[in-house]
Formats: sequence, structure tokens, C-alpha cells
Amino acid sequence: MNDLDTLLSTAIRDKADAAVPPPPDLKRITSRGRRRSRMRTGAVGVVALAVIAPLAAVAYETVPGLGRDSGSPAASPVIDGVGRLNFGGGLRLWSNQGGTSIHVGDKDIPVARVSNIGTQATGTSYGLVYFAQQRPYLLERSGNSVPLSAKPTADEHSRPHAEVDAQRPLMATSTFHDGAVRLRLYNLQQRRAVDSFQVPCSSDADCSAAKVVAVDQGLVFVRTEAGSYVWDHTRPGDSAWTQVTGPKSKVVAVRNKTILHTGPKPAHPPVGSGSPIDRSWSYTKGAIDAQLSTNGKWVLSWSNTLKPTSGHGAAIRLDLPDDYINATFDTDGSVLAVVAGGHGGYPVYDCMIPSGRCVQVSQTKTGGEPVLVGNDM
Amino acid sequence: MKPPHHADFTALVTATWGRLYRTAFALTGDRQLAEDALQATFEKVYSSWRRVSGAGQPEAYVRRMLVNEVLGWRRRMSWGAERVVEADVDPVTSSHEEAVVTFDEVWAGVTALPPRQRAVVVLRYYEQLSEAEIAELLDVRPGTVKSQCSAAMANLRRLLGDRELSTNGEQA
Repeated sequence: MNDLDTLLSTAIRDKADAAVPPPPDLKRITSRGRRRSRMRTGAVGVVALAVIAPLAAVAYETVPGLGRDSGSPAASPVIDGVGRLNFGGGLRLWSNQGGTSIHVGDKDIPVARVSNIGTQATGTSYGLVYFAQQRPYLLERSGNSVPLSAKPTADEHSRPHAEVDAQRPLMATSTFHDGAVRLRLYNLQQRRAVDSFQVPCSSDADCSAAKVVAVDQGLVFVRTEAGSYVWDHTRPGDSAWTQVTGPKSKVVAVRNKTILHTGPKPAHPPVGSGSPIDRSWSYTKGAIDAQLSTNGKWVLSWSNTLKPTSGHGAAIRLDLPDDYINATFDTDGSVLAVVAGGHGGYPVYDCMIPSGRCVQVSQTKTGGEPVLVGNDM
Repeated sequence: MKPPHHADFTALVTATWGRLYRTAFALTGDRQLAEDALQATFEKVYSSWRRVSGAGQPEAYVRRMLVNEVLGWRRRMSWGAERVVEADVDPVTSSHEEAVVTFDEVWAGVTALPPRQRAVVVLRYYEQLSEAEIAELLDVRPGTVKSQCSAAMANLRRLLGDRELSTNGEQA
């Protein structure tokens, strides 16, 4: 063991062991754990009625227009009036200065405007999707937000999650509401929900961790503890919900008919099975937190080198300083990267694909590593 | 009425909470994030109790869930005012505290690593896991663990500069 090994062991042990654990909140853990269990149990009844037939519930929701007085609450968790935003170079979305502001497009927005926003945000070509007051909002180029749902779609303490189709104006969310996990598909151009679907949970299809992981070709990919599934909202009844992987493989991301997964390579569904995942789709293995480029050709996984999903051909090395920290794909297909800057803050770079050429686009101030919130988060 | 596994579950939480909290803190570098991650992990443990309790080593199973929870948070990281990076580094004050300062700098270097490199370093140097065990836990090949660890060490050496490293914590 060399000196750095010893220093590391000692430093981590000293710091970690000195961290005094708060007492576990057993009441909260078991309450929320039970809720997950109830969600499954309740859904078993649903499945019993429809056995293998998933319940597709179409719920078209009209959305108030753009008028600020029609559905937009006066309270401040909604971002409004921040001035016109430039998305020309991608959404360039990150929070910086230790969480005191967020950067969207070409602007830093003070955190006071967004301090009550929930926890999830997703960058899209149409703007920033975020959740406030238990419903999704779209912050548009105008600098104002549009509610995508006329009413709350999630329970107060649930953590809604959104994913976006890179080619189509579609965004899907998974929310916990009234004891069930419901998927909702939104059209961002029309600024409204176009379909919804209740995840058919059962003891075999444990959906306690059900969440949308990707939207591609209009298909919504959902991961549960029992495996990964696809919801095709254009298909009726039984055929709308099909399994993609078993529990040993997890779908991580999907772009342009390329499925990034962990675990063993899933088998293509048999011809004639009715699955929308036919042999024109390809699989590529990666880490649970890897990311796919918008064209599905490159994998980004904690490295400044993008590897081809085809398995052959040259990798793309991003022209970044050695102190590279983090990166994500931006909405325009480029790579947004943060580099450690020591006391001078954190430079943010925009890198082109396939050249790998990077240009510094910002320099955050000190106060904490900026958190990139990409379009594939 | 409590479910039949309630007592066993409570016993597992009670027995492992402290150790796993410290692991979560080492992984995140932030006390609040550590608590949130552990809380979320045990909620999943509760709802998947049959699977967890059936595992040969429930604590190892929960640790794996915790690490993946933390890594998964990269995708769904809270942001805005809800994420305040905890700068848990004491300033350099005087020469007699040089030993402490060096450990602080090493710790600051660990918290500045990308999450996956940080996870590998924590699992190796804090949890004392082998490369094979880390590979299994992270569901990657041992070679990937080796390369991540190598990259982490290179990053740390770069962050720490050219100063001489000493096992007694003093710097040249």
C-alpha cells in the first residue's frame, strides 16, 4: 500500500466515521414502504380483472391556454417573466453556485424564482420541463411557463419523473397518484397530455420502483423491479404493454432504436409476437448511469471518450482539459461538460459530435460543482 | 396491524443504519443527500422484503441497493435550492494543523471525483472490497473497476499537486 492508498483510507474513514448518523425515521420508511406495497396489492386486483390485459386508460386532458390568468397560479414555484431565452446552442441547463441559481439557454435564473420547484427537471428542445404544484410545466423560449396539465397529476410527496423523445415532440411522465403508478404522454407542441396508462402491477411485476426511463419512436419505456416494458399508446388493449427485458437486464436509455441496457443482452421478441421492438432495434450494454447520444450512436459513461454503440469504429475523444468532471448530452445533440476549475469556479464546455471539439461557453462561480441536467436525465 | 416481517425489518434497519449512513456520506459527501439516499433505499427494502431477506447477506444486498440509488441520483438529482453542496473542508489555519489539512485535502479530492470513480474509491478504501466484489456490486467487469480506480487515482494526484504525500498526514 503506497502513501496515497494510506491517505485515502485514513481520510475517508476519518470523515465518514465522524459523520453522526441521524436516527432512522422508521415510521416514514415503513409508511412509504407500505404505500409501495399497497400500490402493488391494489394493482393486483386490477390485473385480476384483466389478467394479462393491461388497463389502458385514455384520459385526454385539456390544458388552459397560454393566458397567464387561465391556469397559471399566482404563487411563485412557477418560473415566469425571466425574459426571452435562447435555446440556439441547446438548452445548456445546469444549476450552479451551490444551487443559488440555474442556467437555462443563455440566462442564469436566481434560485429564488425556482426554490419551490419539486425535484425533477428535464431539458427538451421545446424548453425546460419541471414539476411544480404536483403538475408538469414547460418553461418556453418566451421565458414564461405553460402548465401541461390542468390539475395535479401526482401525490404531494411523490417524485415525478419525465423523459423526452429526441425526434418527436413527446414527453412521458411516471407519477404516483391515488395508489397507482400512471404514465402520461404529453405533446409538447400542443402543450397537452395526449394519453395515459396505469402500469399493471402484480406480485410478479413489482412496480414499486416503476419509472419512465426513455421515450423513443413514440414508445414509452418503463422500468420496474420485474423488468423493463414498453407502452405503445397507439395500440389497443393487450398489445399496448409488452415486456422488453426480464429482471436481470435493465433498460437504461433508448435513442433512435438503440436500447442501452445493463445485464445480459435481451433477446428480440419472436416474430409475430406483436411487440413493437422488432429486429430493426439494436441492443448495446452499458452502466446503469450511462447515457446515449440523441442519434443512438454513442455512449457516454463517466469518461471523456464516447464509445460507438455499434461496437466497432473509432471512439470520439472530447477535447477537454484533464480535470473533466461530468458531462451530458444537450438537447441539440452536443455534449455539455463541466471541468474542475479549482478556486476559479467551473468552466462549462460545449463539445461537438463527431469532431469532439469543445468550446468553453461559461464559467460558473465558486460555491459548488454545477449539476448538469441534460435532456436524458 | 403490522406485517409479519416488521420486526425483522426493524432489526435490519437498526443494525445497519449507522454503517450504511457513513457509506452513503462517503459516496455523496453530503449529510442530507446521504440521509435521503438511505431513506429511499430502505423504503425499497421494505417493499421488497422477501427478496432482501432471502439474500444470503442482507446487508450486502442493501449496500448494493444504496450504491445504485446514489449513482442513479445522477440522473434525477434534485437541483436548485434543494441541492447545496456541503463544503465539508476546513480552511488551512496554521502550520500545526498541517496533518489535518492534508487529510481534508484528500477528502476534498474524493468528493470532487465523478460519482462512479468516487464510488469505486469508497468501496475499495472505505468498505475494503476487492475489485471482484466491487465489479459484482456495480454490475461491471473487473477491468472497468480497475480503469475507474486508475482514473480516480490519477485525478486525485492531479488535484493534490506535486506535494509529497506522507502517511502520517504531513505534507512537505
